[in-house]
Amino acid sequence: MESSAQLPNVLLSAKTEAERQVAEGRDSCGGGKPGPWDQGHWANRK
Amino acid sequence: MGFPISTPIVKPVDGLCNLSCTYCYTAGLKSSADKKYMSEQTLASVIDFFCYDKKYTEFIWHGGEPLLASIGFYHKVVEYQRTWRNRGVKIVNFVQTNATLVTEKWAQFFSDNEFLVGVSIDGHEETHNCNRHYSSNTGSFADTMRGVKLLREAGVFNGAICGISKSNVSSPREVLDFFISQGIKKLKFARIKDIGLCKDVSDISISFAQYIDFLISVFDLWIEYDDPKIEVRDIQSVVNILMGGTLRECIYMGQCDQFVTVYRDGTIYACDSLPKDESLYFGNVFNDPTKVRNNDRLKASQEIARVRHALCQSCNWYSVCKSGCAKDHYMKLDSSSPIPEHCRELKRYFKHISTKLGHYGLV
Repeated sequence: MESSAQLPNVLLSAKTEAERQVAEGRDSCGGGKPGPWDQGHWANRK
Repeated sequence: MGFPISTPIVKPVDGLCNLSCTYCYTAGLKSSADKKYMSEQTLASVIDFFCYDKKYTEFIWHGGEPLLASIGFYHKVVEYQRTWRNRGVKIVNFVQTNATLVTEKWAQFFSDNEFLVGVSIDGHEETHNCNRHYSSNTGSFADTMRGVKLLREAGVFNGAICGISKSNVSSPREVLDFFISQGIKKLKFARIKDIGLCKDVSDISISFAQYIDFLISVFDLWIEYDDPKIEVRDIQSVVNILMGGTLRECIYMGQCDQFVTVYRDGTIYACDSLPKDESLYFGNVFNDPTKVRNNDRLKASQEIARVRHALCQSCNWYSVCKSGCAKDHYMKLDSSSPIPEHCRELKRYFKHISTKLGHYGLV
């Protein structure tokens, strides 16, 4: 098993995001769209 | 998760479009469009219907090509929405466009009014033009990318949706490299398939297994390239869910009654990825929203979803999949069990990602 010190940035970023969502107790409201790009979770990060 | 019939995919010109894409699934609507647009009265009712009992709401402007409704139409959108904004409703507008009609004026309008604009791009010029062209068969790539440039300069470009067909399914690296070279790093991939309303797409459509092969390759590339700014929607969602997050793409939400399609005449149907079938007609924007959200057809579709969930709950991947997408994984609208091949392929996809995350101790 590769150590967390070698964690790729994309997975570190994803892990941070997931932990933040859990800590905030966020619902998955608006988490998906059938067509256009999403809003909220991703758009708000711009 | 939103409550039923709360997020509208609005088609102000139904399937009317200035392009004639090979795989267009709104082709069946195009002939009935008669080049008439949603009336102002209907638009006002659309806005009222989806704002009146909400603190936050989103509008997804879709088509066909939604810009054909004219910039004046969207000025009216903003005007009618202002009434609700003044009452404290937070409203977000999304547009999905082919971008060929985008001008500086459009880009400025989107920027001034905080619209977020997604564009359909099928990869580099040759691949894109294979299937995305005008009725004269002239490719749309140059016009699309010109529009993208204007949207990016205005700060409203919100990513690309890329159709995956036989033209590009075997070239995931090439597809990803193209978008990265253009600085486009927010991506969604959509499998080209026949959903019943298309022209004959048998020459270009791909199987679900081929699509999963593509996604798995893209996931591996995403790890290899290791750029957190690269966001591939489906992959982002699965990774997030496996890590315990809540970022669910709609196909993994386990219910889709939040999303509805509103046509030019104000009629309300289920998500437009599903056939425009009478069984999925829920009412119209002139009806009492409470009654529309409690109509019998909606309840029937919710019951079908409930049965699907019950059948899927014993699966190890249920917590990720949530019984899958109603349009993709079931043979008929009222089928209880998913298509076996789709189940098998989704499990392969989830296992691949989960195994990789497990190598890092993340799951």
